[in-house]
Amino acid sequence: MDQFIQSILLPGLSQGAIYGLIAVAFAVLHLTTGVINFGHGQLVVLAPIVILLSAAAGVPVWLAFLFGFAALLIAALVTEVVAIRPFVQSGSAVSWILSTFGVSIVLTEILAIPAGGEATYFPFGIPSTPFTFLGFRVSWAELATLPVLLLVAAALLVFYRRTRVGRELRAVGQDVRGAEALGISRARASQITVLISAVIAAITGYLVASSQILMPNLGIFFLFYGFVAVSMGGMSSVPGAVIGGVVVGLVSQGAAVYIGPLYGNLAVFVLLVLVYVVRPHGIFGSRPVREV
Amino acid sequence: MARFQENLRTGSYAVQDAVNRGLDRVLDRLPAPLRRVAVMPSVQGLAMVIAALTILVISGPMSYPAYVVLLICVYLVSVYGVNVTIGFSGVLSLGQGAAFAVGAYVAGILAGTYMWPIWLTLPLALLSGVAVGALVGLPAGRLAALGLAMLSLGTVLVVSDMLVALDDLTRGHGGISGITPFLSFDPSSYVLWEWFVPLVIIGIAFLAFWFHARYRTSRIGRATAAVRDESIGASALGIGGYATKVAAFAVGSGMGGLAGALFAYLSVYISPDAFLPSLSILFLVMAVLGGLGSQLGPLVGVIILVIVPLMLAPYPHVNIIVYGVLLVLLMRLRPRGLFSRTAAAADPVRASLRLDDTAAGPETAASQTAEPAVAIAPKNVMLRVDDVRRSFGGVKAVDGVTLALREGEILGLIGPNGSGKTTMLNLIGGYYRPSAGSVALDGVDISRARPQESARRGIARTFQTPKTFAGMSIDEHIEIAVQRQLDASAERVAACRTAALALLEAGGLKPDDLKMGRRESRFLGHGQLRFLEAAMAVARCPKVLLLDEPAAGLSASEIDALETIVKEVARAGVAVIVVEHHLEMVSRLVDRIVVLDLGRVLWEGHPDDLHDAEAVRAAYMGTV
Repeated sequence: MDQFIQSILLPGLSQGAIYGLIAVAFAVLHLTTGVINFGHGQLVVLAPIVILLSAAAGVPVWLAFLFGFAALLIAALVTEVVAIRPFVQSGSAVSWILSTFGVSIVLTEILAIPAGGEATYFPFGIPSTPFTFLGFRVSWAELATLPVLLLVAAALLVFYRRTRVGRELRAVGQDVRGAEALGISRARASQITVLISAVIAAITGYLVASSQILMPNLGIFFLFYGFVAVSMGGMSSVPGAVIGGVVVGLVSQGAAVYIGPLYGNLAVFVLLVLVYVVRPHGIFGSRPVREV
Repeated sequence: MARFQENLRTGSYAVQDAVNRGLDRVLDRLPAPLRRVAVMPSVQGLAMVIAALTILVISGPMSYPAYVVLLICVYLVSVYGVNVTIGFSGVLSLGQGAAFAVGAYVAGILAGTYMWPIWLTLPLALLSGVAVGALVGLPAGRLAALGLAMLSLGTVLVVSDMLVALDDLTRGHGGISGITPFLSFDPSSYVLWEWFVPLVIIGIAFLAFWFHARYRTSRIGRATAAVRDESIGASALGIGGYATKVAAFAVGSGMGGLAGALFAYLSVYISPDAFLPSLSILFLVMAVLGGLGSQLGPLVGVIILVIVPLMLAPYPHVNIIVYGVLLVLLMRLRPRGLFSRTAAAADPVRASLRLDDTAAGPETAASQTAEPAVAIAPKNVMLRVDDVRRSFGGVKAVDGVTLALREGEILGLIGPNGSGKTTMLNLIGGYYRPSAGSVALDGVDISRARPQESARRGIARTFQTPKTFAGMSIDEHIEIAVQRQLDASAERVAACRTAALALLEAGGLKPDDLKMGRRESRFLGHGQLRFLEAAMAVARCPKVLLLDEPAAGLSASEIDALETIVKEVARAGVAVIVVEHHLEMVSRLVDRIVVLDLGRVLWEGHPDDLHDAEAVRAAYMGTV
């Protein structure tokens, strides 16, 4: 049992919370715009890599953090203009999948230029040195992720239920034309949503950088894991994304430990197939009504 | 700025359409036999083969230019596969690289490790690709574009892990070397001739090109494109979408697997590094750049994206950034790529309808209109709707309707908005299942049938907004409808086909103008689409024809022509239900009127008595 907690439950929950954060960002964006940003995984690793590069160039750490965050915001806003806003609730998935996918390719490759695709260690994170707690080897970096995920999710739930902007964002997701008729701007809604998801990406990136080694091509895994998590929850549901993320984390960790380190992706893939076979609209999603 | 953005949104096809019109004009200027030859895929493929062989002969089969040409040929096989999956069926596969890798490793392991002969490894690689594609495509019935995109992306990640994890077979990061073609299981039978692999690759590239074109014009290929453009319209013709999508996935991936095997033989050595996720992206961008669903687009896309990166080779990273930027730009500016024509060759309308005799066409149809179409002898009941109910949530859209429709009878279904007319048609057509009650067609219960099943049993319909196939030509529309024609007597078939031709004529679609026939329906106006849709429905020679507001948006003369033709079709024995707001037209056209209100039959009778019915007036006007 102890073995199970140490090697599966703790790392699985910790990783799962990361996937949950990515899934929550997907849910936020999907709820309003109907788009999944295929470049989100790259946004997650963008800020830490920029911070590392700036720090290596001799910039003070606080300024490096500022640079990192600024780079993330710029990348997110550019993505929004070129690849998301034209397709808000447009229904033609192929267009936005390809255009956000294009953005993700560009970002991955730009990030790979300085690092040469090599893994890098991030020294400014939450301390990741393990210590013993109740007999388990844990680290602050590992322990922090789940509480952060729950905080972010709670904040979002309050935002969507209680604030005017939150309700407007939901209205755009329900019916763009109706919302526009009430004077809610589609462009502004899309921009705000992307900004929220960028902030979530910044938080995710900091947690990721603290607990694991950074590589530019991590983005595609984050995309896939986060997507599986958000589809389990039903695409637009924040609580669903949280649960989905934790499940994905546990499943991939379980497969990596019991079968082999290279079988994590396979297990998550099988999970996605199962979700589609058993409940294509997710745990919290609703079946769409067919219109003729 | 705003105007510029507006242009982006609405006029985004202007450039490609101009390109295609230019191509058409050049083709039209050629003499007819030459034109027919020039568009034949086998001829185009042969031209491609000759070009490739010329370069190989000049530079030698083992030279660098020859390698580039052969790489282009290998990628062609794979990208034409992508075009089958994405271009023809419209579902997004991001995983062609996975099929390519599996095919390469199947061939690599069998040839490199076990020294199997090439005539066995290539088919097995093809089959392994088919298996990968079929597995990914299986959930296509339940998933939209996004789900399939992710599943296929997942296969890329999983396959690249497995290449390393299954190192007993794949030899892990070390890779497999010495992949040479053998002619038999005898290890001494390997081919020394340096032209062998190049010729195999060019030959298969030709076959892939030809097969791709044939697939599109085959019965299943046309059905695939129809489902892509308008799945509901396709189901009204009796085409179920699921099989076409799974087939497109399997076929496209199979071509990917075969291409992978060719790549293995071309490179002699393969390792996981050759199959990074960016390979899938490359295939995708090649297809998108060239123009998804077009015949020559993938060829151009492959050539550009093999040669440009070679020129950019001194600058690492740049070419992949170029792919990404291209994708974004293409989606923003030209969602259809360089070649936008997605319609395939098809028989001209008259040939499809087997009405080659120009003189006997619509004139005969027009000359017989005087007599009333009332049944003389009692005829069979063709459609029986028995106490059908359907509610949506708490709303009872149809609340116990009973109808019987005889062969050759025209029934008008009228009523205020929301009275359940269209719902009634959807219940008959299988788009909704009745909550209670039954629908029987020619004595067979079809209450539980899906739309395509009902359509195959003999129901044809049109929709309030025409559901035609934007990326297919008029010729293709008619051919696809004729292919799905129902069993009927020869006279009835002839009458239906004549009527279909007359409908095209009436809609200004000029069935004798071959250029018109090649036009994609996305260029047609609303009225033309209505007539095209009606012509498709009629050409199937259905038992029951459902027309949902056929007159909406038509001019008075068009309505007249439509009426005449519908009467003609009914005289041939087709039972017709017309939902219509145009009361004058209804009274002239139909034999019997049923007025629906709040999902119930309010009144039923002869059109002449309609205006005296108090209840009807009350329902429409709100007063008595």
